[in-house]
Amino acid sequence: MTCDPNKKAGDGLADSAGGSYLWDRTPPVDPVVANLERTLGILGHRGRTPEIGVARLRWTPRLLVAATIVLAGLVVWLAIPPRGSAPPRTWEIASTTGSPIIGERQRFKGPGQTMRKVSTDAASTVKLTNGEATMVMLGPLTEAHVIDGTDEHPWATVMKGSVEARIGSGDRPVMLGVLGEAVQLKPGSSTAVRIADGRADVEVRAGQAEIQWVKSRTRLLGPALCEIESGRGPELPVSLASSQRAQNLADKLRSVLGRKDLKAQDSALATVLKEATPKEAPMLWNLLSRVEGEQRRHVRDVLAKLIEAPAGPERERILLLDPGAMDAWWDAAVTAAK
Amino acid sequence: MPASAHADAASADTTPADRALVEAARSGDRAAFARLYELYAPVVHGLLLTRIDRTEADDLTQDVFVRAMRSISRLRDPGAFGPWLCAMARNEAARTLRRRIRGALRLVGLAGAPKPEPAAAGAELEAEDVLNAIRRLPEAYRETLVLRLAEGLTGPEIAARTGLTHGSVRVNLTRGMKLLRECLALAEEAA
Repeated sequence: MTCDPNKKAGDGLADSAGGSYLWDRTPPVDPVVANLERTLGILGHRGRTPEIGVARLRWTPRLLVAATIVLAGLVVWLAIPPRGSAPPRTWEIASTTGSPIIGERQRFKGPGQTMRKVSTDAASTVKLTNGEATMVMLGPLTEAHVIDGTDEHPWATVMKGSVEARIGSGDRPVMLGVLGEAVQLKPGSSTAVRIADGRADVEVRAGQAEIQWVKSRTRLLGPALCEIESGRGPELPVSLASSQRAQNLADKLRSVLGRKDLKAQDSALATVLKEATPKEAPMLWNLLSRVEGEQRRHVRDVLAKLIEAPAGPERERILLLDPGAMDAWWDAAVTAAK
Repeated sequence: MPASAHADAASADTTPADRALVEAARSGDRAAFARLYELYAPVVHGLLLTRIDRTEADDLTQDVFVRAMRSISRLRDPGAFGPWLCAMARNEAARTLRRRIRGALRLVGLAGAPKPEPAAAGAELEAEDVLNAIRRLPEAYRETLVLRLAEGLTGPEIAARTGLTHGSVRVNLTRGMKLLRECLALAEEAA
């Protein structure tokens, strides 16, 4: 079937023999429209209301493949965390609902390290604590591996499902393994992670989190949302404190960043930068490492204005993504956004 | 030119009754959510259907709603629920397409060309043919026609739930239908 999609349809509004039927089914019936309704009607929506608040997981072949990829990725990812001076603490089961499966502690990689599997079904949840102020709640249909005996950070790896984590402001950061990435939840943060179909949403409700991927750092200042896709790392996070329009613009930019269409990228980037407010400063900070050359320079210039960065050599170091300069600008971006 | 597919200053607002449902859903009322799903699922499904496979559209409709309901507390203007949900559906479809492209590339890399899907039969094949013809039309016509012809919404319902003005929907329906008739007539001639 061929037709020219760009052809002008003409006004067509005068073609009203069946116009009223097409508009709101007022008789007389337009036989062509009625025939198309019958033909296309079988494609229409026939679904049931989904359960909200309960993580849905359909064991489709696609999901099984995704779960296999996740498991394979995690075997590679789980490495010995860096050593520190703080004494190790252990994950404790603070409370449960329903009948979750709590596995036995097994030896893990490093000396003194143990791991146990915790999983929930559709009607159960598990609340884990690590110290007084660190809490991780496993929602229904969730599986996590919790690792004890690590020196620096409490670790838990979410294999599937959804978790909510709250880290007390005086506590140590908590590391969550999510689709092969390390998500560091900073003290004083509240974060939800949902994994399904080979991707994860990390939603920081309050406080800050950092997603470590290869050598890059993606930082989130709550409320913010970041999507992680298996094997691709974190997408450009979006601040949920931004206006709806700013969020839509960021989403559009995110969709063109993965393409090699520089013209589309430049256009989307120009719009985002033109309309950026201090609330978007953390998003622009994350954008720095996702663009190059002139695009990065442009982002740097707009971000510098938003955070009122002083002139000096730091501005040049930002173009090289110098860690010290990036840290300083992140702090300034956080201050500006607040 | 098609009338804008997206809400603008002159767009129709979510109806007061729907606005009340959104408010109730925001405060955790599941019955309100169920009613919103009943009203808006065909819109989400229709927008997805113009972009992705039917089987995926069915699954993704629920995903879009789960996502929407989890973030509905952040929707500042309950009157903008329809356009907000439509944007979410379009974004979700775009993500799915991006994943599918990457998946196809991987498949090609591993095992040559991907396997063709089994042919649909009879009425489904005919419906897919018409849907494919609609997919070749400009975006605004595409969405409005699928909402009207496949999802069974009337023009006023499409306007109320997508945020488009009555005028835009009327233009998109009339002009889109005219183009579609021409496309289908061409196809018949070719057959």
